[in-house]
Amino acid sequence: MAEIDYEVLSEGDAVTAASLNDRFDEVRNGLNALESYALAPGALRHDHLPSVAGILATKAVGERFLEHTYTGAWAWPGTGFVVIADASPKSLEIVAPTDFTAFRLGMSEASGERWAGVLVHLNVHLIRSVDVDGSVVTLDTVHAVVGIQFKHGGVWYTVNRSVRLCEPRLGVLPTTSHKIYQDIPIATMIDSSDIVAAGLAKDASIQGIRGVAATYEPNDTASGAPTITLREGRITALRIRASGLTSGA
Amino acid sequence: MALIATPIFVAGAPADADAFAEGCYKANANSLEYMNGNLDMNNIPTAGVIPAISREDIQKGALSRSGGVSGTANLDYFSNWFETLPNTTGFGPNNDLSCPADPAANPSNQSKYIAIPGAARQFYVPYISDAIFTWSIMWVNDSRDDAIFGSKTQATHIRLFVDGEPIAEQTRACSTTYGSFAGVKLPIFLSRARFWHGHHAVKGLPAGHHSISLRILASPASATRGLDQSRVWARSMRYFCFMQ
Repeated sequence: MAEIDYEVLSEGDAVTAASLNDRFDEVRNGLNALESYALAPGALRHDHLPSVAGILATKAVGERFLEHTYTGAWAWPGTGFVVIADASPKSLEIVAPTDFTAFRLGMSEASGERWAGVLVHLNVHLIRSVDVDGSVVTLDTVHAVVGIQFKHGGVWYTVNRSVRLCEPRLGVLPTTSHKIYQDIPIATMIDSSDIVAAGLAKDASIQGIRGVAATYEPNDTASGAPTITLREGRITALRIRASGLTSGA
Repeated sequence: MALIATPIFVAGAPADADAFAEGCYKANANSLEYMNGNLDMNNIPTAGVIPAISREDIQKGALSRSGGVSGTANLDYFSNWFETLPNTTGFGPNNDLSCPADPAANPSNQSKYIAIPGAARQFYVPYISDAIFTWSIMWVNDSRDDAIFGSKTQATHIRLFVDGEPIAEQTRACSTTYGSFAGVKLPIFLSRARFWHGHHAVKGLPAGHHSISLRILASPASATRGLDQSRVWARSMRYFCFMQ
């Protein structure tokens, strides 16, 4: 298929509409269905190709030093998590269909697109941690917990390996006026194994991605949940194609 | 581009020379002229959804581009390098850059920031792209807040600029890292250092040259001094651009 085999009109052959059409069709069909070996190495550049990535979605919170607090008591892997959001109101929640179109990983969409995974970056500024009795925490008490979740069927599932715990450092926080000065960064790729690990069917669609926060107090000396305060944060999600590039982009 | 459609000769009818010529040469008209560098994914057949092209067929940098810069040196910034800002609305006593004032909120202050070597990069992309930037930086500030010096905490701000413009929420401040612990007093107490491992994303970055930089702004020197020195460790600034 698609190899151009042009038959020369010889002396004495009749020049008819059919004989001309056959030869032009051969050229046309060959160019419309190129074989891989017809391409010279490095022949394709950005003018010839669709994007390798899907639409990028990104959101931020905490602009102009707007603080927001969290008191949920975290338990492995995702109990107690609340979406990171400020009062402006902005949140680190990317959802379909507002921010992107729901999609499936590793499967063929109707459009012919195949997605390998979602690259997710999240970082958020931890300002302070305060225990339930109002005292500012020191070493090995209140942990800030941050993670990434994805949504399917109205339920949010935690990407277990994305969960980060951050405790105050030695000698920090003599008073509540002092900040922790700690950004918590997470970068991960959500792929089909995360869908299956969540107990969902392999072809379950992803309908949202968000950053979440909670608290963790391993050496609890006071009853009730502590509080962590966050400020600036950003989440970014970018779909990456599977190996097949298609014209359906 | 679309697929090529060549002119069809009709048996018994005179050949149309104009239509034939356009079928061979007319630009953007599904003609054979497409073979002059305009064949694209539409001309590549698929087996299911897997096209018959491989990585070797694609030019390096055609789908995405990336790069970065980093440094290992101690970068010291002294307060007398910084001018008194023209607009100090909302600032602390002595025109300090105290939290939560946002100095870049005043456009006249933006030119006072200094780009940090090892955290600033210029790059070129030949196509409209979605871009992600990541960086890692640490800094300290020797202003004091104790019984001897009183409350003289003055901040050192670091902020992300993309193509020369400050980004609203991409700013962090370090008010003091002077530390006293277990009888030891240190002006630069690393346990109180400010760490920032951040990222930023831009949708639809135009083709052309661009710049990304972390820039520093510290409180200027004053008679009632609090801050003398800010020390920065710029570990990396990276960019990743994906063709849209």
